[in-house]
Amino acid sequence: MAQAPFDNAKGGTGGRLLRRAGWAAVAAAALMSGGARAETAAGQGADAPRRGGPGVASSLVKITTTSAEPNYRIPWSPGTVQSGTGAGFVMGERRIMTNAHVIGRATFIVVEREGDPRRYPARVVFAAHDSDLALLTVDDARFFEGMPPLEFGGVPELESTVYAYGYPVGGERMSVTRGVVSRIDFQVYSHSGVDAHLAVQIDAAINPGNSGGPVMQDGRVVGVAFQGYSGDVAQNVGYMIPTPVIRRFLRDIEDGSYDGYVDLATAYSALRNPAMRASLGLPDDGIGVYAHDVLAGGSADGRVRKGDVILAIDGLPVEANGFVRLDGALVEMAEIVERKLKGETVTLTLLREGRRVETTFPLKGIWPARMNGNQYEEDPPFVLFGGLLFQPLSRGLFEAYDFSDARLRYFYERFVPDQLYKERPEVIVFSAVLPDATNTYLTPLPPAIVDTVNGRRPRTLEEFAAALDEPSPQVVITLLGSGRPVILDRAAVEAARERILENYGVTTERRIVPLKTD
Amino acid sequence: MKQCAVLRLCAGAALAGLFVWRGAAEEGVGNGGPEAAAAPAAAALPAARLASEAGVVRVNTTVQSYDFLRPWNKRQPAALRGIGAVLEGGRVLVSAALVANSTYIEIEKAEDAVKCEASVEVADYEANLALLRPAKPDFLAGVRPVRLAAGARVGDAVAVLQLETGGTLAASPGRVTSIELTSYPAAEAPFLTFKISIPLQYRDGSHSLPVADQSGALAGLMLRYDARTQTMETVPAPVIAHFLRDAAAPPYEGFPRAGMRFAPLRDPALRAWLKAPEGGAGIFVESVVPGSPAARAGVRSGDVLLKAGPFEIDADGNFEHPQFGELGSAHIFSTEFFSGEDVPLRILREGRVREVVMKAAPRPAASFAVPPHSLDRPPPYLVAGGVVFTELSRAYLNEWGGRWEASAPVSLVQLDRYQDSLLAPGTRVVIISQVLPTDETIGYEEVRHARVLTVNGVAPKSLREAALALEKPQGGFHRIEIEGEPGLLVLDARRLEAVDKAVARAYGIPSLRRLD
Repeated sequence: MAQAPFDNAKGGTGGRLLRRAGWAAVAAAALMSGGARAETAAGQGADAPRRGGPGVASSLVKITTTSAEPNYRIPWSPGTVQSGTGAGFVMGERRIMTNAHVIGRATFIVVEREGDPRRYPARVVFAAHDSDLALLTVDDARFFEGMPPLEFGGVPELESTVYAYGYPVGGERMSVTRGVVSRIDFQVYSHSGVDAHLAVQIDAAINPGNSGGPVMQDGRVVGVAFQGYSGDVAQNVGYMIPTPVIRRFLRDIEDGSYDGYVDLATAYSALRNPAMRASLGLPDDGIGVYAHDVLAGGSADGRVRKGDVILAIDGLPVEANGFVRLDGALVEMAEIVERKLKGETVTLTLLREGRRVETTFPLKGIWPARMNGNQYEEDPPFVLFGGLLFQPLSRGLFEAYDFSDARLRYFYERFVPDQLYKERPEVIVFSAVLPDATNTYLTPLPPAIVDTVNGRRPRTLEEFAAALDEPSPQVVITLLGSGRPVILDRAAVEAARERILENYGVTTERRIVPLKTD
Repeated sequence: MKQCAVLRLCAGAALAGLFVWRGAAEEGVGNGGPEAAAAPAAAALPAARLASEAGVVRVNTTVQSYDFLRPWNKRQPAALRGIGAVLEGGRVLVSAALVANSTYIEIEKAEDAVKCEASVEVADYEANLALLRPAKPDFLAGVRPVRLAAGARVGDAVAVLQLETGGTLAASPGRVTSIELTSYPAAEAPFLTFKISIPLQYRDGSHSLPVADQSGALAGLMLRYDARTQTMETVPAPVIAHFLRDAAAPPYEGFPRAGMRFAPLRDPALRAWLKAPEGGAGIFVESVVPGSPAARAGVRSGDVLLKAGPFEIDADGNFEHPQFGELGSAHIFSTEFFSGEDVPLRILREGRVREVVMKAAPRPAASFAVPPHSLDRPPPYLVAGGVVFTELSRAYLNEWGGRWEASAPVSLVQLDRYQDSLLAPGTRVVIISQVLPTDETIGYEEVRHARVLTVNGVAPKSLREAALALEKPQGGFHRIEIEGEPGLLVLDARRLEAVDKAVARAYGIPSLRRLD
């Protein structure tokens, strides 16, 4: 079965991949465990540049980030302050490239370079959380003196040797690790947890602190080290972001903003079965995939229909397993779309009811899939009313509460594939009660999904908050699948308000983040 | 009355005697020689006679459950042992768990270890009770039947009866600590239980254990035992009495269920909104199962139930039972009434009191869209062109283990969990459990646990309907639409028969279909 891009939105895929936290943020912890067995050659900076290419050491940057990790169970709190280290490299125009996870939710960033005792404050210019890349700059011009920008190369060949540079497990001096390119494939990028892009697997240990560092071959950057494997399944496996992904990022920001990845928003599957091919009127030529689902509101909505056979993309024949031949190599069909920017078009050749149809349409992202991904750009949205906490369903919320409720699990896992976002662009969860005399009988009700407020169904948290604000002596909130409504007396809620805020140290009652559906 | 006299002493003096006899028996077994073996057989006799006079026998069963993921397959058989209580008419009462999916049942007399094959007369898995009948009608002629206790009170001394390997009766003393409702393993609604505090040794034959009260009457059968807290829950005498009365007038109907879910009605804001009177009366009807007795009586979600039968219901859903004190109202619907009887209900709707009459009726497992258990019911299946079709059931989901709700495919879990609102009564969910690799199923190998949407254009409401639809291929092809990847399976209708023969041979499938 070909992998439909948005199928990566399903829940528990992150088990084996190192989670974000296991990377930059937990660098200190990894110092004591994972780092020791790695084949790192710390302190051999003098020898290494000759093999990876000259001058890498003088372009390498050590990045120390202070960040605030929000707590979805107390979303008004500014979060836990923590720090971590990663690597980066100078790439011209006074810019430093690193991983987005190195600087995610950063409140303060400092950079250092080899042979300079000073620490320079840095700031983020662009962050692409879907492809785990970021660009920083340092306002102090002295920082870039004598730092030659590194040049980018192509995708390294299988079995070729590459060199990863960085500061694994937080050491003071640069380290270089040698590895062999062992696989080039699509991988879930664990920073967002939902996006899958091309990634190169190398057999060098990539450890916390390597993140964001350049992977070199013949004096050029062929990748950015970004994630590894945790657990006992595989050891000495590291992944780097290859240059097609990096180049796409650089192209995307040329207009001054990062717009992110686009997607066909079509689930397709392989057409290998002879009877299935024959029934669809296809010859036995190994061409074509079956479109079994088209997401409402997605790029292909109205262009591709369920039951169509996709024969070609941008004129390239699509093989029955979903691969196309691009520049002589077989790549997943998704790779064609991956390289495009928002608003650029794609042309599909379809077989529909026995007729060939050609359709060209502009591409956009899949906003509902963000619900299943890690959020870095905004603090957790919420509404607190009468001591009742309401939060839109998200990966952060789901993981914070570890919901076992079957309905919540269904909405979380099937939000995109079953297109639940059509009716509920935001699923508003009644997640907790801050107990008070006014709400003590409501404490057994969470977790539950809000259905209506005073007879109307809010589609977003913003609409929910607006419905609460409408003057009515009573607020009646119904919950999905439950006949037991929540009845709140507005005067009682108002009377308890200050008391609840003070008792529970709540600094703000709501944080509304308008839902972006572009 | 001799039986009573003996058992009254169980908790005290008689117990000491039992320990003496058991000691003698163990010594004999330890010596192992022929002379030594002869002695304990004679010595154990009084105790064995005690067992027969207490009206208990050993019940040995072999059970074999189905593999719901490979439904043509039965799992490895297991041997279970338990103790049954002998009733009037030469029948034996045991926990239904002991005979579920049984392939062979025998009754063994404690007195002389003589065995007799037995069959299940009635089994109620929700109430966890079964009646066995020995193949030889007079097999239990010499055994004195037990009398059913009228009830129990908190604080009562009781004794749990176990049999030693040699047939010796062992009675462990315990005390009733509470009388309340609890969940039964195979039941969807709670039932009454006597909770007993008792230190109990593990002994061979722990699947069914009778509990005797101080008069020697049967107070209950073990439901479960928690060795950590030394607490036993029992299927109590009132539930047994209900079962026996129902069983005495065939056909057996089963415990009725109202089909309502309740939420507490203490919240003053909710009470005011419902125009319910101040104070603590009435429970909130959160939902009503479509087609259930409550639904047929006209009860709706949002009503307040004030009274059921003669019992006033409080805001937590409890009522005052004349014998056991405060109990949950589920007990009224299941145990205070019999199927077919009229249950008067008093409800409050929009501030007005209404009286309705509910006709009590059971909800058998087979009547669910996703049956809550499939004990004694082999899973239906159909293999067509290597594609294995079956019906969704809780037993199927249980294949994911104890945490199935968190680990089984969420689409299937929610169909089970919310079946009353998602699925029409009388329908079943047809699924493809797996695809057996053949040259006809190339490309479909990864299809697993997928809900079938249509078969040749028909949305099947049961496996039988799917089978009928498979008799009408379209243009020489079978088109099966499924939820999830790859969305559509197409099979060559002309090749189906040949493929199925090959599949049956390659995978050792004795029969390609088992329809209900």
